[in-house]
Amino acid sequence: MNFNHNGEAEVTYDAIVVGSGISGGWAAKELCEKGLKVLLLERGREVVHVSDYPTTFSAPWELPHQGRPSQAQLKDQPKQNRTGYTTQEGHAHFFVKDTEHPYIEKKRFDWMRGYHKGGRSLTWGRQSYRFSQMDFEANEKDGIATPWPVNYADIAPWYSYAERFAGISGSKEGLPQLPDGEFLPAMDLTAGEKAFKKAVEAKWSGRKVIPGRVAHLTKPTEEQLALGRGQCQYRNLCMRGCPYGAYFSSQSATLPAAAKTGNLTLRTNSIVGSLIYDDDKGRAKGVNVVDQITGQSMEFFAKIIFLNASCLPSTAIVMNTQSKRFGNKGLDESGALGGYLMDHHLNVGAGGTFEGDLDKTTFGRRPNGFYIPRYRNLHETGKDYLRGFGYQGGAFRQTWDRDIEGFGTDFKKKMASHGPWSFWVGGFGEWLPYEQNRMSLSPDQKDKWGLPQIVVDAGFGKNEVNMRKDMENDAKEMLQAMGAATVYGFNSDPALGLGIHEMGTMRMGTSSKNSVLNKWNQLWAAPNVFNTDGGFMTSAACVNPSLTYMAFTARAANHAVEELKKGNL
Amino acid sequence: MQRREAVKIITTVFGASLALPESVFARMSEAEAAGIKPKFFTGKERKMVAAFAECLIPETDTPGAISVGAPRWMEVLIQDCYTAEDQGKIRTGLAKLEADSKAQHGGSFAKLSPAKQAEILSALEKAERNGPGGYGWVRMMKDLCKTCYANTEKGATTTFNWLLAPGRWSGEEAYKMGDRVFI
Repeated sequence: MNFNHNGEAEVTYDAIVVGSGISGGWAAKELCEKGLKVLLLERGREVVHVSDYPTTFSAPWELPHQGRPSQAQLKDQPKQNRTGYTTQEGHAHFFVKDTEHPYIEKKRFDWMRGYHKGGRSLTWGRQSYRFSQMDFEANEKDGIATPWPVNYADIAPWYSYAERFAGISGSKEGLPQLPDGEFLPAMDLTAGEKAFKKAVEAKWSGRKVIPGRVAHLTKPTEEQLALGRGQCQYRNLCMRGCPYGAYFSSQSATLPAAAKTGNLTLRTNSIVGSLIYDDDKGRAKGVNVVDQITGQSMEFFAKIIFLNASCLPSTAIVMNTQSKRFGNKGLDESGALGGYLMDHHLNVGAGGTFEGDLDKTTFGRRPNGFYIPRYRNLHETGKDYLRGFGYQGGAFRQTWDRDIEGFGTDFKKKMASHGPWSFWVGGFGEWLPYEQNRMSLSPDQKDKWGLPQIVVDAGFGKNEVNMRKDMENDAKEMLQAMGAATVYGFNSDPALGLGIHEMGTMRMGTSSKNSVLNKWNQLWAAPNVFNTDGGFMTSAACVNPSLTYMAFTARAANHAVEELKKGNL
Repeated sequence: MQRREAVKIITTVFGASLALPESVFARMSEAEAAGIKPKFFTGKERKMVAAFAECLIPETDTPGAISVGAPRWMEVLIQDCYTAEDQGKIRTGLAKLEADSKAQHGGSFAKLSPAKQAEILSALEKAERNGPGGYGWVRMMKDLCKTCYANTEKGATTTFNWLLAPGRWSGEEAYKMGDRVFI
């Protein structure tokens, strides 16, 4: 049914962007700034910068349960609770109610979703790293999955472009496996972390402990100030939304830049179910939308469509699109659509306490930690696995939350003082792309808008299991090397999804026979459709992926407009 | 009763090593700013939790657990945030503490002197730490109590330092034992 009574002209734009999270915000900004009239469709509710961050100024005692989720809330968010932190009272409203957004787990799949304007750009971890040439070559070298059709040199200038706009704090290290970028000043390591750095780098020449690279304004540029963004205030309440716009989000950065052009139309509550495919032209004419409040069906049309609904929903849109050419199998002839689902594997590493430097502490709440770039299968080989892992961690003086024996005045005195340095060293491992790690659409189960539910069937391989042994042992060894007083390892058995980096189900490749997208993020089956969220990733590397999505989005948008001007789209 | 009166009473009481007077408990079951009325505990249990909390974090030169409102928060969190299983553990532990107090120390836990309460709880803690897993009811209650304490305005800004927006970051600041800690 089509409720757009006023004819196609009124619902036709130059470009449609589906999703307003990290990559969708970038697509909208780039296309608007290049002069296109853009319709940005967001499936969820409006979230206005600052005024819709209800808890951003709340002290713990101003929250109903001091920040802890209630059992009543968890009834609605049983899956969102699986990280152990996403459902905290201060930011639970930026994660979906699982009861409203069901999906089917053939194997456990921990899917954290934020369906509202800005998506997960409001709640992301903000760690921002470049892939290196080594990462883009890895599949070809190892003879697995399919080669990336892109080299580091192709994307490097776009990384710089994305970093300058987003604002990435970090230190230049000159490491080939973790290329330097355009950095704002780094956030200092803590005294405990500096002691750790010294010990680790003295013992292992290939291991470095560096400040995390993070999308926070430590020293805003003129361009960032002009967008209303300010300097980080070191509150570490980021997931509630930042009233200073100090970390990169769609709300703080890309959407205001897009709006400034006068070319942006944003429609919230608009769920895209499928593309409208034109078999004669071999391209998409537009999108089918259902309003999440009224349930009305609508169509919108454009020359260019960017799918940025996040990996699985974007893939679902392509799968759910009917055509004569592909039938009801989705717009793909390679078989890669829906396969090769990846994440980063974590919840493995070590912790401990360190009793040196007890005359030092920290000031402020740094929304960041240290980073140890990959060294396995580079400087040091890994035992029975390909690729490698990085570590993220931190060291702070313990406070009241440590275990203190006793009762009364003496207990209180200890509680009010610092304990030793407490270390946490957590691994982030590369997950290989496996054909059988798949999402699909349920043939019979629908959501309340009549769209097929997503089915996920994905898990660990041997490579991940083997890598995790080093991830735990190396972390323990490094803490022991600094003379930590207590050291404990951990290696839980997490499901795919917990890294909240789901990616790869619409991978790019060298031909329509081995991939869903070409090297410009265009659907082989519909070149005017682009995917630049996690879907396009051909391999995962071990670094956080969002900066890579930003860079590829800006590059794809540039290509789209060039092609449009040439009359090719 | 106003909070500052409660503080005064508790200071006096603890100075004299006497049990808490009835009037201290008067406001503990009232709904506060967030509008959640604690109604999980019986009156008797509520007194025991308050006595436990004050025994753990007494009034000194900074406020104790009762004057910052920690017992009320403890009840709200147990009531709304704990699973039925953990609620049961809390309740069973309180019942056991009360039975032991009566059998071995001649009276209700809440009515014993703070020194006696501390003695009983310390013994329980020792047994628990030496027991299987080293974790049990005492640790559960202590963790909850100090969390609730540190997350109140009075606790966070008197016994500790707390700022909503610190405004700067330093990885190395001088610290000597006894300095107030930023949380």
